[in-house]
Amino acid sequence: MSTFEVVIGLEIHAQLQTKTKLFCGCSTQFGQEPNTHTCPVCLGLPGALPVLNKAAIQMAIQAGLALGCSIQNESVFSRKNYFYPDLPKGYQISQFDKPICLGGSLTIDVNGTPKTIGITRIHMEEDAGKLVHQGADAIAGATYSLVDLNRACTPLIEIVSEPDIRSALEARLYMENLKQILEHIGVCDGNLDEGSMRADANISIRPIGQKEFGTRTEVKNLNSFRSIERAILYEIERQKEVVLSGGKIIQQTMHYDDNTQKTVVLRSKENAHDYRYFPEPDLLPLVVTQAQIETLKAHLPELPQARITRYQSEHALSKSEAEIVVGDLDIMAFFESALALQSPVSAKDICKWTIGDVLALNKETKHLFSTSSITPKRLLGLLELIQAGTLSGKMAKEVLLKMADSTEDPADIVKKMGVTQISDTSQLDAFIHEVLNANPDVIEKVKSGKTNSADFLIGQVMKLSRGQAKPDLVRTLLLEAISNR
Amino acid sequence: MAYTSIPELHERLKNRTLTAKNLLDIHFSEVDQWEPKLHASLEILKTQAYEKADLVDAEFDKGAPMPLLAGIPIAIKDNICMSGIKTTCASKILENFISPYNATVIEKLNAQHMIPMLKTNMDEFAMGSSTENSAFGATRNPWDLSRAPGGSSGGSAAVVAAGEVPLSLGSDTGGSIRQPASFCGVVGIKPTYGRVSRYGLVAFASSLDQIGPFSRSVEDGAHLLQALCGHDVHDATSSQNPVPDFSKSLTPDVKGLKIGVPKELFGSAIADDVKQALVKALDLLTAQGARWEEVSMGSFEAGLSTYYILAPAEASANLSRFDGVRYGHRNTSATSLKEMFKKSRGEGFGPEVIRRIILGTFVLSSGYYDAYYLKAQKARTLIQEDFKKAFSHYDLLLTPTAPTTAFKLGENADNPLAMYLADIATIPVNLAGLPAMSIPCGFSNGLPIGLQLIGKAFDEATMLRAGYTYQTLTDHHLKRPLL
Amino acid sequence: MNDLDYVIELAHLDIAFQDKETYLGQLQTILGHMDNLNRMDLSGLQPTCYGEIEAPFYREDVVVSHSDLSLETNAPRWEDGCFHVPKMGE
Repeated sequence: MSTFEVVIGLEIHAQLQTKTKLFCGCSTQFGQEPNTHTCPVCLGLPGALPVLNKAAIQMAIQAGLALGCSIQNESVFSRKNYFYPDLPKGYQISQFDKPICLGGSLTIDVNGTPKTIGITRIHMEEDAGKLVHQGADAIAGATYSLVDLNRACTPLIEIVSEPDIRSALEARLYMENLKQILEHIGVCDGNLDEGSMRADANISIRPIGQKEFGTRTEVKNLNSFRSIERAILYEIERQKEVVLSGGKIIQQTMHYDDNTQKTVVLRSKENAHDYRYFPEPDLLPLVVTQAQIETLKAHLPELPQARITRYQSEHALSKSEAEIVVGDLDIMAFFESALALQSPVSAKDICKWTIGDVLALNKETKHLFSTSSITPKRLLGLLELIQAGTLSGKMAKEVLLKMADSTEDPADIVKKMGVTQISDTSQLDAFIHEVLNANPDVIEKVKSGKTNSADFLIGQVMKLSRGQAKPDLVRTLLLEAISNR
Repeated sequence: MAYTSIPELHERLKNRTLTAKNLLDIHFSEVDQWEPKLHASLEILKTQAYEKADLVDAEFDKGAPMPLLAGIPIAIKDNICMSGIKTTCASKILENFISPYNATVIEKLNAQHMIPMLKTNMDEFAMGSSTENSAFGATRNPWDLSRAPGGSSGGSAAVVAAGEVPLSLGSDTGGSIRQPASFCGVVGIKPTYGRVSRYGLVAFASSLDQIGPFSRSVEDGAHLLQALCGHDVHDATSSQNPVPDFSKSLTPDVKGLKIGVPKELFGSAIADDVKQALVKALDLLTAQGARWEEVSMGSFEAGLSTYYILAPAEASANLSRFDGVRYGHRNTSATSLKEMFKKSRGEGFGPEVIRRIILGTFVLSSGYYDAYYLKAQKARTLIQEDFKKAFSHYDLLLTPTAPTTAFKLGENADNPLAMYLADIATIPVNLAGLPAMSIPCGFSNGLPIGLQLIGKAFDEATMLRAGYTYQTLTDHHLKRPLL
Repeated sequence: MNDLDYVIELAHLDIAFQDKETYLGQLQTILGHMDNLNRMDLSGLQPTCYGEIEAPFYREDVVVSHSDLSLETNAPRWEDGCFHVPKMGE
């Protein structure tokens, strides 16, 4: 039995994070009453005309720069003609033969091995509206549909990859990386639940060693990392079965159903659309000067990979720590503002607490870092108490919990709780005496070299101090006392 | 009174020897007399007009400074959107469509306190040269009721000719202002592409469409044009060029003006009576110090083909939004979506519109794009270059507006190509995006003849000056049709 | 006629058979006239897609809210703030 190589190309639609739509001044805010964020332009009323959004142009260029594309000085919008009730004008305004970005690449880390996926192009286009099928869950059983045009005309970029992806895992990693980059440069909010990123996958298989590509199918509607991986795995298996049983793959468009986790045929090539693209006469060619490109390049935020590397070298974070911080813009913003406060606490410690206890606490209280009562300043207040020896790590954790319910200074909370660490040696000496007197046998064990047994004694002292003793200090004093006996 | 110039009307409104209400009364009485014969209007906006007139009169009574066009009634072609009023494009598919917004030109008229009085008849979606392609019945030519007023803005031309209104708005994609102006003996101006915002003009061919004024005199037309021009943030193709003061063009002076006369539009395709009228006009202008010579515009031969590829191609997409989903006619018996689309469109569009949608879809369809659409785009470049060359020698070009005077209704009913030929002189101008206008230059058997002046891009001023000069020497524009 | 049927399908039109024949004849005449483009020398010419090209104009990214658009007045069928359309499928 021959083995197969999988060939995948992804087309990812990312919604640009503009305030208004691509061609009109309607808000792009998600989750509003149907058809309330509409105007003559996005409703396709007779006589209405599109006018291009400046911010969308900038974001598309930024995305291109972040992905190493060459930005085109002149790009052209075309009309893509087809009828669908969620497409108000009967054509989609989309860049076709002259997109704004050409070439580029994205490097992913596949189990420790870097792999570069080529990017063919990035083009700008408007989104369609939303159709809600009534009377059944799926298109098939619906008796009618309702059209909501709030989303119509929302700005999208479509990022088209080369057929360089070789597995479902690589596809997922590519999409995850892309999401991270677009989020970091502020171009896309990466909110997959709200449809901010959607992928179409072109999938084919070929016997290993064969040069020509196999016949491909296009799977649409992949709008989560889970579904992209699952859909591709399913489609690969389906294609293998077809080929192994002597059949032929038919070039067709498939739809991935998240519920059944299967791909179903949407349409075959025979009735493929003839989109009759032609240049959109309502919009002149989009002209970008070299100076504009250079300015945007100069202001491009640091890309996630560069930041991860910098956190490791500059702040001594481990790779995984850096990845966690950089992996979430909310966490990263918190971490960065904590660093900006110029505290004596090390970045490493700030990071540990941020992605450890604070993250856990915020998850529990269902807060974002940006809305949590644990502000960078308060966290640093707490960590400075540890650094000064006032609190043990364990005590600090308790104080942190209290901080969640108040806005008080960590030092004040500590005072109220009366949990300040005991570093008064006379008080500790008393506890040590009490413990040593009660455990003469253990003293002997320690003296005979079983230093582990000292831990038991330290534990007893800590208990007497109700955890407020500083463990390092207890150990020193205790061993001294034993040797003096 | 219904044939008085705008500056004179303004003077009388200002000194209160006339009120805006009086002016409406006078014009509505013309409407009452003419409309049953002409059928030039699709809707008469009586209530709104009188409400507006009261407001305008109140301002004049206070002695408030009012713009020149304040209180002047105007008719609007029914493909220009007015908020709260039906915009039908003379199509069944939009029979009950009420526009929820104003076209930019309507906002501009409002700023002048003008009073829209009529929505005028047209060829459906501005496709035609006779106003016979209206779903609501043809319009007749006020000079001869058995003849067409031209088209597609036939209604707007006829109402000005008949004195129902002093001014009106039309739209011109391939001659739709100039050709009816010629047939009806009025002035029709097509501004440079980009001069006037297209926002709110129901699109026919987006790269060719322009809104422009109809008037009896060049003077009145220049004043209305002034109010319409300027950049609009709602139209990305509207020009940011400064708009000159067109009233400065209203001086009789053509000394040293160099006029080119394209010989391709002086040949056998042009009727003799039209040619004779043009020769007379050229003589008059020469006597005033203008010079003219023949020029060859070889690319004009490609004009008709180019236009009838590009315009339908754009139209086929522009008309896709009429799908019965959000507004307009919907077939209610359809049980599936696709059937609904097809039946609604099949029932809603008239034959000429369907013909052009088919033609436009065909020339864009896979396998034919290069042979038709791409070729036509290149021919368009050739035509533009020909004009550029000509304008390096001449200030203006002068041609007949139409090959003949008004033809009989129904004359070309079964021969679309013959009808399309009525636009041979006007089409190249749209393809090059230039300003042009038609001015009455004589009569033949009681029917008006029009001459076309074509200017350089964004140089409406020179064209207006020549036209104004001509009208100081002639009285064709002062003649009016009899009821 | 095959081309005509294909185009009518693309354009989503419903046309009676006898009308199709009329259109076909007329369109053939028109397309025949267009042959004159084939006799012209168009080599070396760039296609023109627009009117007069000048400085492009772009919008600022500022929200503009719109007055009542009376969508339900113009909608052929309206339900729950949405446009109601028949089911998909053939």
